Amino acid sequence: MSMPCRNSRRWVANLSPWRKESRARLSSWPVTVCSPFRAGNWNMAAHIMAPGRYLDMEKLRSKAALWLLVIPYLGLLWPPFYNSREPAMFGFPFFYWYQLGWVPITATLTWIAYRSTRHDD
Amino acid sequence: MTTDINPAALAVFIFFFVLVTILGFVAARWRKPETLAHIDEWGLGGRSFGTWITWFLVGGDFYTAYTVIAVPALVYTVGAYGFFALPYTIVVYPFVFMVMPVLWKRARDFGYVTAGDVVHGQYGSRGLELAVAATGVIATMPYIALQLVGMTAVLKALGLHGELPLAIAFIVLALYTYSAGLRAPALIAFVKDIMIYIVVIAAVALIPSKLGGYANVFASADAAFQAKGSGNLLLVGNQYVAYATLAFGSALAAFMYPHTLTGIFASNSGRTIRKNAILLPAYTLLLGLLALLGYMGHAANLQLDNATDVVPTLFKTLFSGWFSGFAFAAIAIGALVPAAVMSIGAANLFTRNFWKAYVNPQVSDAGEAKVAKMTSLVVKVGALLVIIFLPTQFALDLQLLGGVWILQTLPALVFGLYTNWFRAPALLAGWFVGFFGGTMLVWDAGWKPLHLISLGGEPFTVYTGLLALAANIAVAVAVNAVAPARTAVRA
Repeated sequence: MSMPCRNSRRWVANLSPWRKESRARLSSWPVTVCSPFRAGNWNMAAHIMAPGRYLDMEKLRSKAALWLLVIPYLGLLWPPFYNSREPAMFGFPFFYWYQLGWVPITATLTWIAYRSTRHDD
Repeated sequence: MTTDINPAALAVFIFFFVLVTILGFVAARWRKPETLAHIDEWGLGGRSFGTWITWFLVGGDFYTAYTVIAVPALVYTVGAYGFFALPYTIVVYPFVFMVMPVLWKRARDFGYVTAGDVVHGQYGSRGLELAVAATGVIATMPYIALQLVGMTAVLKALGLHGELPLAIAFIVLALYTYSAGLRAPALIAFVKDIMIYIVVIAAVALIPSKLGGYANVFASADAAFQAKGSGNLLLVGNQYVAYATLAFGSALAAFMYPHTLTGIFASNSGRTIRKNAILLPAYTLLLGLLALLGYMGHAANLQLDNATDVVPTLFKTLFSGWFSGFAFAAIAIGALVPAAVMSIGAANLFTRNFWKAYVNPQVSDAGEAKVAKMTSLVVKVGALLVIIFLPTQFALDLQLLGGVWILQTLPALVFGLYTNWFRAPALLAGWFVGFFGGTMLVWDAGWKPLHLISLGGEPFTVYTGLLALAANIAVAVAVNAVAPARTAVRA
């Protein structure tokens, strides 16, 4: 893809769980990066002007996704936290339904990360 | 366990086996490329598989027949501890999401087919390439053999004894894999996975109602563990670290294997892989429910000679003849898909990182495909001979070691995607220490992949693969920091 400026904006809008916050944090970026060339060919401008900034943005984005994807590790790799029978649900001791519950939770977290990823491949 | 042949079960089983055999041969024409005489086509399906095909293929070869048999068997024997397969197959996907698209892109951009190719391209080192490729092959061989163990369990339940049925099934598999390459297991995976889903959903919905509900299933498992004085419905204190490290270490190792990497490289985009990281956990749910069949075995009061018979015996006892035939067919076909992909992955490694590197560097594309096809035959026959002539325990021990081994290729394969700091000699030194140190620790513990550690306080056990990986990385970092830098190589 060849329009990093536009994409970065789309990404800001897409970071749904913290949409407001991230917009507040990032809103100045695309403007700063692109404004000198705004009236003209701003795609070209992004290529010439913004590789450094663009890299920052890339990092920040993958960082946000990264933190989401760490959550399942925290939830599952500390067994003392869930190693108990109660509260049971539908006859399943807590140990079992808790871990099964992490399947949809992880899929959802991954989906949120997916939405905030730019798929340039 | 009774071993009379049930005609209905056998008929259904044979019907589905013939069906997938036909599919296997038809697959050569499915999504037909200009030529199959190219390793990209034969060994990677033309790198063209979209979200659904990848989902079925990776799901089909990651959740193997052996898993279907062994996880419930472990849960039947030891209880909660055997459940580590569940967190393992959950935390593997965030890792897949983050790392595998990057690896896929590297492979696609440079035309790499195997992990060995990626490493050679990154570091320009034949030694490191050979270490990674050889590790992949020897870690996969016992894994293929274990698919045969899974298959033997269901054939036995069907009343088919001796090696002949097993040999026939495997030779048929070898032939259509030879002709259609990765397209064969990809197409068969559709049938296999749908069948497995039907079986497991039926099992978890119907069996508990016959056994007095899930509360009763757990209660009778608990009673059985207390009666025999081993096993537990919950983890006991000193199992915590083992449980967590087994889950985490296995998750890191899972996508280093040639068969899983083949599934990744065969997909058509990074986006496909990311989507699959969201969708593949559906199989994990299946696995978690499947694991509970181990407890249902206790609730049904099964008398077993061997824990691996728990799933087949349960189906045979509680399902009607034709449906148990369907379930056994699902498991047996479930052995064929991973066995095919594993043999293809091993064949790709041999062709690219041994044949092309040492025997015939000028080999043509068609020549590569030919070598790979022959190798896949040899690999499968080898696995068959191992199962027929060596004790099963040998394959089991080797497969456990395989997990420790394959994990040692992670630094060489993955670190280079993110940094150019590491150099080949350091990574090779790390691999050496991890591989042989890990093997020694496993041997020392009586072929168990767990190592006892006591840091002053209460001793606890850790997954050896993860320990060896830590040593591997530490050595790589230390050697890289100390050894003088030479000019960086980047192919």
